Amino acid sequence: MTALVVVLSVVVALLVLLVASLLRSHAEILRTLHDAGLSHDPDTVDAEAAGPPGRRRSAPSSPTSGPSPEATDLTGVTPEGDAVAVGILGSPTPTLLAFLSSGCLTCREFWEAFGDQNLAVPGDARLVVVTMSPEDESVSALRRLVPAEALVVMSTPAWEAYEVEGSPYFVFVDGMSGVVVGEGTASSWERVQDMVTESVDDGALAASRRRSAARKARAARRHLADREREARADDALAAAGINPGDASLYPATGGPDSDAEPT
Amino acid sequence: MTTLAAHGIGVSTPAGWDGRISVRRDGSADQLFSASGTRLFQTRSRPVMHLANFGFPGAIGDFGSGAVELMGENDVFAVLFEHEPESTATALFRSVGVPQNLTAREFEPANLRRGIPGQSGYQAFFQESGRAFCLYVVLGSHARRARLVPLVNRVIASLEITPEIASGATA
Repeated sequence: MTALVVVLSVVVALLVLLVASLLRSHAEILRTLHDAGLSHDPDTVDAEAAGPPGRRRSAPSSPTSGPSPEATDLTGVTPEGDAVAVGILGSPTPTLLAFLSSGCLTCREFWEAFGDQNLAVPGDARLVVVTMSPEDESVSALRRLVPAEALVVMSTPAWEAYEVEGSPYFVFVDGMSGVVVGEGTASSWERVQDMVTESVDDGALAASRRRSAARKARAARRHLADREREARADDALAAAGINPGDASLYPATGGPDSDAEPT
Repeated sequence: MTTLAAHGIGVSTPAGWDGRISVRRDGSADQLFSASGTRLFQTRSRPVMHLANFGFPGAIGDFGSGAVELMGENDVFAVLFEHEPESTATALFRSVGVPQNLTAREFEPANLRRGIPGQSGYQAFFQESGRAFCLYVVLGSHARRARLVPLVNRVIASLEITPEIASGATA
């Protein structure tokens, strides 16, 4: 009896040791995946995980914060082989870029959702699906998935420009200000709608437009200041009897039409 | 500027412009046979290019149906439609070279294929590099044509057409 108890105790101890080592190994794997920016569950660690390293990632509840790469127009081909360019910059309508692939299981729901002619795109945005280029993506698989209504651009350079490393990934772009207002990943279209709606409600769109307007106003002020300074200089020179083309303005060459090299 | 090129047609589109160069899928027969079964000639689908300073809808007709209805008064839409190369021998296509420096006076509502009130249109037939084309342009507002035509000219100026590739030529 005693021997049996001892044997069972040893077995239990060994099993406890085995379970502990497995848990530790699992934790290390998860930590490594997390550090690499990968996740198995888009809903729980989506925005944090899907963004590329070195770039500020949004909070799981909202993909709207943080500096992002400037928006660019897209060029590529459609699954039918058409050459296509999609204008984003300057567009009064925001653009929602959906980076999808044919092999990603989570993307299946989005391919199906995008076939709905009455699909409500959040933020009143224009929906553009972006896959990798034909050399990096299965065109035949895409043709089976792509709904007739969807605008699809196959462009690996677009993935690089928007620094997208995995699918599904969504980027909400304000064309007026030319900036990415929000971005992140999600496992359902409803989740994407929530994220974009939150970003618009949070004022990120308005803030980006205010920043853009302020940049333009500063540039205009600089331009005017330069012109005023130039006019003052011209007036001062004219008052001194120095007019355009005067040789004294070109001391190194002797005049505006001289071929002499400046010294 | 974004460069769009396919089927021997290339163009630089300004920021914010949509563009597409596709091979027409109009369902026309590729070959025509006589009643006795003799093949009279074979054609192949020709490319058509669409350009616009607004977002294309999902599907567009060759001459813009589906898109021109959505145009605002600051919008422009252009089509470059290729015809069979044999057309270069006809009087309609005798003009050589892509039309350049269009003027506001050349735009008229009467030129529209679909007479949408307020819009204005331009159409020209020409040949370039042995290929026959129709250039069709729609302005969202006839009243604003003086401001919109320069936008069109800027894009047209970047248009490049190369001769048809022999391997893809009509059989």
